[in-house]
Amino acid sequence: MVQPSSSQPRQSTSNPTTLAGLIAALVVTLFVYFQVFLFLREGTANPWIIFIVSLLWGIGGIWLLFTLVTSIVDLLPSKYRQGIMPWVFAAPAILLVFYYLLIPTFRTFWLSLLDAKSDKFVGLDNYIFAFTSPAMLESFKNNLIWIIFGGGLSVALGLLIAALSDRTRPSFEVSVKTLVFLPMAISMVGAAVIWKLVYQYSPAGASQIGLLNSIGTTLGASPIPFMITRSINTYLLVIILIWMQTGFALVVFAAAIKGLPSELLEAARIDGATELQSFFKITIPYIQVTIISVSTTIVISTLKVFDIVFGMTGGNYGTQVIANEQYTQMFRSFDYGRGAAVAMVLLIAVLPVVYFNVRDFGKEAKGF
Amino acid sequence: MKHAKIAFAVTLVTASLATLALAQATKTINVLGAFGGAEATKFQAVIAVFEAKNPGIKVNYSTSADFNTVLNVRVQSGDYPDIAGIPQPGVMKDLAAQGALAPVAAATSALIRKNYAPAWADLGKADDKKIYGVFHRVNVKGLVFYNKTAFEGAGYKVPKTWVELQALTKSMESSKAAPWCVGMESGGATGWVATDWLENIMLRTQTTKIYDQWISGAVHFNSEPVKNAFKIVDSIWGNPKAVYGGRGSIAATSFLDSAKGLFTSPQQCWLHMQGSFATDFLQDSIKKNLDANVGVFVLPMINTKLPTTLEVGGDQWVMFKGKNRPEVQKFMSFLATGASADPWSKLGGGLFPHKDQNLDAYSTKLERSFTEIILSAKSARFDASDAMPSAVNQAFWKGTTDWVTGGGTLDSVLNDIDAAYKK
Repeated sequence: MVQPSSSQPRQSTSNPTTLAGLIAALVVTLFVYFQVFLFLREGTANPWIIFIVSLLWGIGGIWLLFTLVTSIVDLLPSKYRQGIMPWVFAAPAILLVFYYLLIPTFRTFWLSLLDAKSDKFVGLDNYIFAFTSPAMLESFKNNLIWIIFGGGLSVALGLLIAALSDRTRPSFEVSVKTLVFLPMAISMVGAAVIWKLVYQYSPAGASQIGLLNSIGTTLGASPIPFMITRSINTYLLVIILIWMQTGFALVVFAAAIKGLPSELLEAARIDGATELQSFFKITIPYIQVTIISVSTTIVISTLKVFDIVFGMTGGNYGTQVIANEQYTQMFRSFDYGRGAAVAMVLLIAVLPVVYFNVRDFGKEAKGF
Repeated sequence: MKHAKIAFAVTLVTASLATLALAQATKTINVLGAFGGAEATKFQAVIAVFEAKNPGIKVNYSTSADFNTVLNVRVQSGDYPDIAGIPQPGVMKDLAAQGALAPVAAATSALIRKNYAPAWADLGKADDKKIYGVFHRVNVKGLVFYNKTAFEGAGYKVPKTWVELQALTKSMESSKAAPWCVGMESGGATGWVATDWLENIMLRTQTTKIYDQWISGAVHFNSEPVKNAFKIVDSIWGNPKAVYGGRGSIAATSFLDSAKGLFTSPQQCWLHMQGSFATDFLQDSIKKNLDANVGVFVLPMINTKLPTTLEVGGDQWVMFKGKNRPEVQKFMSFLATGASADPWSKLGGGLFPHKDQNLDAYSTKLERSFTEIILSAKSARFDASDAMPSAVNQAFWKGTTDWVTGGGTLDSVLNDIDAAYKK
């Protein structure tokens, strides 16, 4: 309580020269910041100079800016100060979200109303493309397969393995979980490279490098070009996602099941419930919120799936998905209008799922 | 404490400004290109010769696996490199039309007229008839590779005409290996092998006028000349005896692997059609002695009334608007002389169209013979799909891939590609 009274005379705006000096220093700092930005964007200097400049201004510059702004706010009358200070702290985060998330979203929407080179206004033409072109219809169909099989099987398998491994010896449980969780540590593109070797095809007679065809031909079957066989290729790609996402579902479910009070299960057993009954009537309702969170998270990743398709088939042979079609339109055909429209369609498709996810997140948070 | 803080702040600001001023004093040229790895190392040898001749100028070469995407994003944001090497004339024309490029200086264009065949100068022109592009490393397509030892051992003769080629492949069908190895899988770029085949057939059945009209969209895909080319390709690719593994394996085999089939044991096929760059895909043991192992002939003309026209490709180097500083112009002029070809041809893996280059510099007779094919060509056309607008090129790749893998009938595929022109 001593501090405020001693600083009382200083903050009564009695020091306009200090204030002006600080504001001038802020302007100079911002100017230098802009110059540093231009210099780094050019990126032609010696890498060590670039390294040192970005280190100095990434840390020292931020410190300088922050010190200047808080000093300026400190000099303001206390009724303003209390209102402004929180914003000084929150402003960087708000600005970043605004700059990297909101502006691009609105700009994408605007681009989706313009033509390929973003010159002329074309109204809803790009959206007509996004909902009627053969490539997009194929993508909608495939994304649905990804959601139902990819999402459904990852969650179901994760839940099954979590429930079963919960009943095993702890050492066995740990090794099962580790093995199933391991693929999560691999990037999507890395997984695509690995699975390319599983699905690889060579003509009959040649040595089979692919794991599946190698096993198949040893057993006397003829080799199958898996990736170009339209009836199965999308499902084979979905298996890669299941391989990766089951581990994620498993660890989250296992933790939730561990939190299930054993009294509940014991009471159910005393009342004569079978194992299946107690699983469906007690375990599942108890971890329902977790199931919804995990499902929505996986559904979002199946809607956005890109890397696996891009890495394995490039969207050819009937395996196109929305995100890869967006990439194709944007960066291969250089049709910014269509690319942006497809991106908006994807955003709109993901929004309800995000809403579900966030709503349940809020529910959970209130519990604490 | 307070003083220390102020001192730190002042030092920070002044030191940074001084560094910035210092960094701007050196003359650097920023070059962005589509090739990396070993090819970039060889281009560095070219740069080293230029830097030795021009002290005080530094050339920075950078590359990206997704070159077109990176270039397009940089152009959109106004962050131009000084020079870029563009593989597709269609992209160069788009950029020139947008006003992003600067035409070459008078000195450079004089060198181009002196050192190149007129066809290369024309390929570097945009729609406004000004020269923007300097060709440096190029390639020639429609070459048929064969395993020299096995081919000669079996008593086969190099066919001079299309009829002879057909008789040859017919007789190969009953031999120990298939006549052709064809592989078109190329990740996101799958389809270019098929478009290369079709373009070569087009140049061997149609006049260059029809070919040019096809690129510009005046001759549709769903028209007799183009359909005919698809049918000729189908007569080979669709014949299970003519292609190793049959049609089903074409899209499932990587273009990198298919060339190796000439030299596998047991041998998979006798012939492989590809660009001059296919020597890079061969087994290391074969690459060690290309001249002894590899034989090549140009795919013969089908319509023998037409003059032989080669399909060529290559990166053209262009300057960006506002970047035509004297040192940048100097580098562009350097690329237009044979002196810029020799450092690379010595190392192998590059062919050059310069008339004033030193042919003795080539590391293999094979590459020298490719270069002589290019230099002696009376007529040449660029890879058509690369010269078409990006959206059409993309549709062409996808269309041929669908056609080969049974994703559509010929008519539906051709109509899909034509639809890409309407935008």
